[in-house]
Amino acid sequence: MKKYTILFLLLTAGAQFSCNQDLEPTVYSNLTNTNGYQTKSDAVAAINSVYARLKGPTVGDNFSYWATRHFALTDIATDLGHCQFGGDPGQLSLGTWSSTNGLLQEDWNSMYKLIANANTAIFGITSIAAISDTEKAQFIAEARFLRASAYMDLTDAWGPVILITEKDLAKPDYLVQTPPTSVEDMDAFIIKELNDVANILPVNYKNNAIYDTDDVGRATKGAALTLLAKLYLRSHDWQKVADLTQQVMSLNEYSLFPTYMGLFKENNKWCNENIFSSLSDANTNGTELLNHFGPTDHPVLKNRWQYYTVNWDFYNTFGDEDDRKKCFFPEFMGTDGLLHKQAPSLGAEPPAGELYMPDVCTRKYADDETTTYYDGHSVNILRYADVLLSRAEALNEISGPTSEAIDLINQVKRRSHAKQLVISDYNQATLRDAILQERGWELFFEGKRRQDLIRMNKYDVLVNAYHLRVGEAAQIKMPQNKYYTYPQSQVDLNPKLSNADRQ
Amino acid sequence: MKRLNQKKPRDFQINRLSSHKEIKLTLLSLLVFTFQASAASSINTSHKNNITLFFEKTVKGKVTDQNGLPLAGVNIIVKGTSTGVQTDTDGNFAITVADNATKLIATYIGMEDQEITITNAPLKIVLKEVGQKLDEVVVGYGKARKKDITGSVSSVTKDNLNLGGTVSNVGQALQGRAAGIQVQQNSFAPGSTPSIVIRGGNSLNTSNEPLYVVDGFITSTGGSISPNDIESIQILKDASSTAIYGARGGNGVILITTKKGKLGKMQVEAEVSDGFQSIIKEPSLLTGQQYANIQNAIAKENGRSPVFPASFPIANTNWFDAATRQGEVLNRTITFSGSDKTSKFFLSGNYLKQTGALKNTDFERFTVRMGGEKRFNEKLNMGTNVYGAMSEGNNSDFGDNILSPLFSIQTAIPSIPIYNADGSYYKYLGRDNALALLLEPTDHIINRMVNGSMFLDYEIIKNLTYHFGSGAEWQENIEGRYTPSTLAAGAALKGLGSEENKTYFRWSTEQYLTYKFAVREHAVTAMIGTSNQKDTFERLKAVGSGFSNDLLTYYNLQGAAVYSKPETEKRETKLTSYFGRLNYSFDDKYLASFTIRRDGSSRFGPNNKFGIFPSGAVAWKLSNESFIQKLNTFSELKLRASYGITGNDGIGDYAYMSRLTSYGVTIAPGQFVGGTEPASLANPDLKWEETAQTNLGLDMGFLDGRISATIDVYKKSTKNVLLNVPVGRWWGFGTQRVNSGVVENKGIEFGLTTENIKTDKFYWRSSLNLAYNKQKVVSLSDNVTIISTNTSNPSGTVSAQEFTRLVPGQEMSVLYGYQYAGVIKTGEVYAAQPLSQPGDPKYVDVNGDGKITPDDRTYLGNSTPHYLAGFNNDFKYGNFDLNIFFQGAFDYSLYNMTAMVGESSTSTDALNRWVAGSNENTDIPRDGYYKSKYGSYVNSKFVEEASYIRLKNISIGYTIPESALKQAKFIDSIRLYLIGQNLATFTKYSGNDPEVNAHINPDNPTAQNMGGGVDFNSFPASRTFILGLKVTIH
Repeated sequence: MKKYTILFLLLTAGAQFSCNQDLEPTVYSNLTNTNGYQTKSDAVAAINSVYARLKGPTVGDNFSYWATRHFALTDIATDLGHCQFGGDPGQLSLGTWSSTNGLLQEDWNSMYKLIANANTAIFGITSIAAISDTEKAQFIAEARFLRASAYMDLTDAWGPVILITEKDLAKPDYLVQTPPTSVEDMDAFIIKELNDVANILPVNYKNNAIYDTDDVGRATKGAALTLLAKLYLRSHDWQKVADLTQQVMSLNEYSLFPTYMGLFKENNKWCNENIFSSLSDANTNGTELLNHFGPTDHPVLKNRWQYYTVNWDFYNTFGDEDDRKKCFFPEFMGTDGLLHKQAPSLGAEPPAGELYMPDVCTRKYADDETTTYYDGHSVNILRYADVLLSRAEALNEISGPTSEAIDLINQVKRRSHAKQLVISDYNQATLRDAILQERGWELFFEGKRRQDLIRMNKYDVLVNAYHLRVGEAAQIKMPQNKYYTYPQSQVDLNPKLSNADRQ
Repeated sequence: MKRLNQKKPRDFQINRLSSHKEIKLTLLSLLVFTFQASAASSINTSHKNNITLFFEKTVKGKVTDQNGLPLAGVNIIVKGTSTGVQTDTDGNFAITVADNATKLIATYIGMEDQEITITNAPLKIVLKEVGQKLDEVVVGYGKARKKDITGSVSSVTKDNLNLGGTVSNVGQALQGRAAGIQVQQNSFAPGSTPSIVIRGGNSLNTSNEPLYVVDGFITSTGGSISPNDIESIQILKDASSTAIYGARGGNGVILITTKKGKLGKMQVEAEVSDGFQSIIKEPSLLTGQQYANIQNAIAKENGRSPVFPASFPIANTNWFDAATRQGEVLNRTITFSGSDKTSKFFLSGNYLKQTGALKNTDFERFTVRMGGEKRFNEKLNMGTNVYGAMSEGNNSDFGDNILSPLFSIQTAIPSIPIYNADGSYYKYLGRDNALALLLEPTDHIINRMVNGSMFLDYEIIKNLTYHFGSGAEWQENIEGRYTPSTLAAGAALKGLGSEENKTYFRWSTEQYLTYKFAVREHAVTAMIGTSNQKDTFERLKAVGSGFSNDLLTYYNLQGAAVYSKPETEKRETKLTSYFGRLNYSFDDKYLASFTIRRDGSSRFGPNNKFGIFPSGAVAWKLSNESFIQKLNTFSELKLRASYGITGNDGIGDYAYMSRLTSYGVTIAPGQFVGGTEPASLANPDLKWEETAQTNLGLDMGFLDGRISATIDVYKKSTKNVLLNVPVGRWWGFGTQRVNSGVVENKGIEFGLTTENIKTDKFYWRSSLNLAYNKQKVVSLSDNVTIISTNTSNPSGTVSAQEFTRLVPGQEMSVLYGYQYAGVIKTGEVYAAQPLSQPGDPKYVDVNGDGKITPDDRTYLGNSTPHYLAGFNNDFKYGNFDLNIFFQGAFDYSLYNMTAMVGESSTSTDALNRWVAGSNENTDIPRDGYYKSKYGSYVNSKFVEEASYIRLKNISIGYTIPESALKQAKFIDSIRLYLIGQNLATFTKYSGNDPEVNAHINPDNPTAQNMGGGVDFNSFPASRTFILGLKVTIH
């Protein structure tokens, strides 16, 4: 009997040393979908994560979407941008991209990441009982605006894309091969979304009932109307553009910032010209805009990468009187002791003490007052000058050059002391060209150029002409280059995304 | 500017001073123990019985231990009398006994007593260690006679491991030593840990690393323990052996038994070895002028200004030479051991220091192990094992990415100098100096761990034993980094420092009852038990920038002007298991073994927490059948068959839950607010991955064991694979974890050991192992037919590209890309690439649609070797011993991305690029692969056959004759040896080393399993020569 007592005691003692009462793990460091959507601040955090995806959320690797990479698609790949390096930006710069181009994939991923966060936020917030209907409507409207904005960029780049909304989250089938939605249907979706939210979103967040602080970065009525105007611009629905731009102007919320250079200073994170922007803070979630855009060997902005640049051809089109021409680093004495400048002719050999730069850096996201490594530049996704120029374009398309149209353009020019247009010099076609040129000067590297060229049917003409001038091949063909090739990984997963007529 | 490496704090550099101290300390302690031991030995002088009787005879003999080593001081007593003698230092004795005496008894502390019948011939007495039955090996939760094992188990003892010099972990020690064990090393950087895969990988997205069990304790650090402490390793390969580990046995199990007390009196063993390492193969790099000429020519062809105008002072720098040096390796071991009839004791300390062949790569490790066992009485036996280790290494990012300093070194422009006239680093176009990138940053990895375990065996009633074991393991991993102002990022941030501290804690217990009984021919062993385990992981990271100077690196983050957000994290895993095993044997001819384990894990959802894993095996000892014995051919013949199911739970914690992740967002200037988004696409239905394995084996012995051979064939089928199934990015993620797919592995393993020559003077033994494994992914998931893995970026502006593609029917890591067809010639019209120009790369239109698109990619070769082999030879001639060991892997290819990058940058291959009119007969394109609209840099030109045979090890030893040591009685043996490692490699592979798999990364098993076979920036392989001395004293 004693033996069994010992056995019993041993087993009991052994059991005491065993550690697991149950197998339910404690989740220490994450909220879950059961405790993460309960309160108003949970809802705000969910919405904030959608804004976060306008760029990368963390400092140190922050170059996605509006914090640099998107410009490879919208500006590098046009007649004004340049990248001296080979590889993915080089392919876009030369018009030789294929479906395996990494920047196409990354931008696709980033835009859909924002959309996914918007869908999750809407889905999660809908079920929160602890917030009022007004609050719910506001939060969801913000998410819908951001989602519409990303769909706008997606359709700019790829035309028909996969439309996914919060409704798809109820019973998700992750492997279903959904066909892409046509541009017409995408437009209809975006129009409905923007019309809805324009009636919910406030004009601004001063003394807002829901938010304690003046959150200038949040979506507003003006932003929704402006984006809608831009969508109609893309689909050549000129009257709608004229109406909507008038509405934006009538909000009396926006005006041009006094100086062009001042508009882009890192410390000017928000002003009356901003309609919708991606904001960041250099130290807490700074971007690598400055690193990509800044010059190499510059004595003040040391050791940047001169990666996303403007080509000399485009730089040389600025009038000397134009302040916007000062938004570059065309010539400086480098830290290497060489004078960095433009070559007098293609392929010329620099004399001792000089270095011919292959392209020219813009100051837009590289202002030499920034002293930090990562930077906190705002990226103006929608700004008032674009509204003025869009309206001018619509008016010209409706009735040819009018004094209002010319004045709108001249307002923008006047700010930069650029040469004013005279109405008598233009007919509808030449004014269209002037507007395209003006948009390039005003909005270079703001994510607008490729769409402007395509809208005005000048993409192949102008890009090929530029490539031929610098000794490269004319690679752009329409219509197959109107839209980018879908990223190969997505085609592999969903063959309904077809690149057959795009490569 | 001053070179800041000179200002680094002294304690950061592993400086020469401290290592010298270390040697002195080791020698000092050696001396101290020498004196103590010699003092002890003087008491034990033998005495002779001088009384001579009538009717006497003299019996002579020799006593050795199981390894054939002579035992001195063994008491030899005539049975039934008190007459006795002791053996001399050579183990010899001569005893005068009465004429009618028939038996002697040999006794020795720590050994089992033995009775010997007196014969006329000299007696050969072999004593066995107390408590350890001859030929008994450790199996999961128990021990078994090797002869009775029904499963497939490879045993490697300490004498057959790769040891010494740079061998610092179990993987390196095992490589080539057992059939079917693939050991791959991601880099030859000091302190890097290889990966082990047994019988081909089962899993796609989870680790295929085996489970490590050290002295019964399931440990997460088993792979990195000091090989000097290993007594033996059992590798459990088939399901009948591994199923007792249930949900974690799916990738095989490596059971490590550490050294226990040496037999007999206290013994001190000290081993000192020093070696040097030199790089085997240096890259062939352009001179400064050559590089400048090529770059200028390309610029001219592209209508650009020259990169290096006439005014540019062309330097000629060999960055590789500047970055490398002769490496050094030091190894110091001291062990103390001893045992008596009731206890065993073992204590060892090891110090390893490696100075890498690449500058600023150093690794240093200290380990201490202590083991003890005490048999309190016939029923109760207890023991403990404590292991502590501390290692420090520098600059440990040698992955296949462009952040590796090796990338900078190999692509650095040779036309520029390293330093400015003032001694500061020369920077070209604002970019960091390549040597500065190697030397200047601090990337300091510190690992500290302690693991302790205990066990208790209590025989409750006869044949019924209760076992209780428990253990705890604490591991701390610190990564301290600092980017000083000598680098661009550091200059802009005024120094960037960070420290990340990860702590792992494991607590586990096990208890089981074993019952043995035998009735006539029937023998049964039954075992039932339960085990529990809990793991926690905690992480803390702090980052700051803006320091007044670089002197304090990351040690004073409070000095930072700007802080990043701190990060903390905690996770836990809980496991509960119940298991049982039944072994049955009939007449020592027919053996059967059944195991079952029920495993519960917190990693799976509420409905799937538990899984059941059964196995069964039978064996037939044909050599015990009379009809085989009559053949007189086999000394051993055993046929084995087994089947079982094992699992895999390696998906990390909480994977089934919908978790949210948090970060900060800027919504208004100066406002930093929280944001939360989903952490992954959850899957509440996640459960075990299951591998069913069938194994057939045959063990054969001939000529009384002088020849022994083992053959195993197996088939593994893994279903419900824990698959990261790719999903469209519109879901916000690239993958979702599901249980889906089937992976099959089939293979054959062969092992042969022969004692070719066995004379008193000369001994030669060979052993050979061969393994073939063929893997096939049978299915993935509905709607998912392709899973791709990308390279890393070959440069800062070129993105990663798909280079392996998995589709059902293929094996993992099959290289996938374009077929290269040379360069487009002047005047050539290649319709499939209408926009290409002469000098551009040309690709094969594989699908024949008249244009080159991604659909023209195809399979270019498998990157996992199908055949593995090891061939070992041990020779002994007099006091000399010689070991020659070859190891090889066959039938596989690598994608040599280093060569691809080199060809269009700094490698001498660039000299042969296509140049219009002057060098058209070449297959190297004019301006690389990145610009072309068609094809890709992932193409067949850089896929190379990598099969190799390597002369891995030669060691020559000389043991000082015992006669020469007679004067110093306390010295048992002195052996001097010389080892050469990695002496010669026979391969067609043109890159650094054919053994490289740059994608080995424990944090990213997907890349490792499906993205093997890329050679990019691999750490240069080295040849090592070591001189060593081993002294044993008592």
